[in-house]
Amino acid sequence: MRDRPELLRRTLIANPDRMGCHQFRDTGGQAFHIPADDGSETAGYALAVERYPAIVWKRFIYDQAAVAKEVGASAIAFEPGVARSFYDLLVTEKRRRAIDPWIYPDRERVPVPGMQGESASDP
Amino acid sequence: MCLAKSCIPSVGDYQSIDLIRLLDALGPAEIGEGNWLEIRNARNEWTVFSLDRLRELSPRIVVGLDGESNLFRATDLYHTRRRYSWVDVEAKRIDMARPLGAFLYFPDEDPARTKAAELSGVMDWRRGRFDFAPRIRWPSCAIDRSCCGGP
Repeated sequence: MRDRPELLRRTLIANPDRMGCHQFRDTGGQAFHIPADDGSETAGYALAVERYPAIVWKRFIYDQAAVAKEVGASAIAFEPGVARSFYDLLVTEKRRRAIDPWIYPDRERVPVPGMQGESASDP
Repeated sequence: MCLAKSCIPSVGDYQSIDLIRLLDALGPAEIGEGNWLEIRNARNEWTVFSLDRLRELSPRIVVGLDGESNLFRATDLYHTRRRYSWVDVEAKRIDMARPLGAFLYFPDEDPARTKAAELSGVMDWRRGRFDFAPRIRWPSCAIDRSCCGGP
């Protein structure tokens, strides 16, 4: 995170649970839901932040109330500066990996030296 | 077991393990080395603590509460409107569960200001890390020393 803007680093690092469900650069959670009827581990794990197509991420950041209502989740109140930083986080990371941020779905992966779990065959 | 405040009027006793003493006893061969403690819960949610800060806070791992030794019997329920946002076109109610399990308790820190107090869980030595059950907002009476028997 050292190469990210101060505001973003402070937001994520001072609140580690902000990365509780989703990873960024192989750090963080990969959360899933447990259905109440059978208690099973349900497929559909939280994607790493950098895996989202920019269009999806943009809507999540800037249309948070509508998105939260659609899925039945609590809305996140992004502070204006933080919202922009989160948006830039994804776009910048995709460009760093030579992935067009606007391609949807995100299937073509480019290995980045020193990064774990990244390969062109990564689903 | 219901964990809503109204369902548990008081908590009489709890059984716990000192986290720091446990880490020291296990040693680096079991849990690795470093200045940070990484925690994952049963739903693969993640958080990390500075070990220096943890030593100041002296957290306890609560493994029993009011005679109940299987804290996974305590479950928090919630629901969403879609199981998969990219699959379900029509909204419908999807019921989900968060089992509690053992959880971290910070006796000397105001839990309301300690996000870690919302974490709960059990330990999984095989993966060399603490494996915690989902976070849950514990009723205030359960984190008030005056009504807890203590370790």
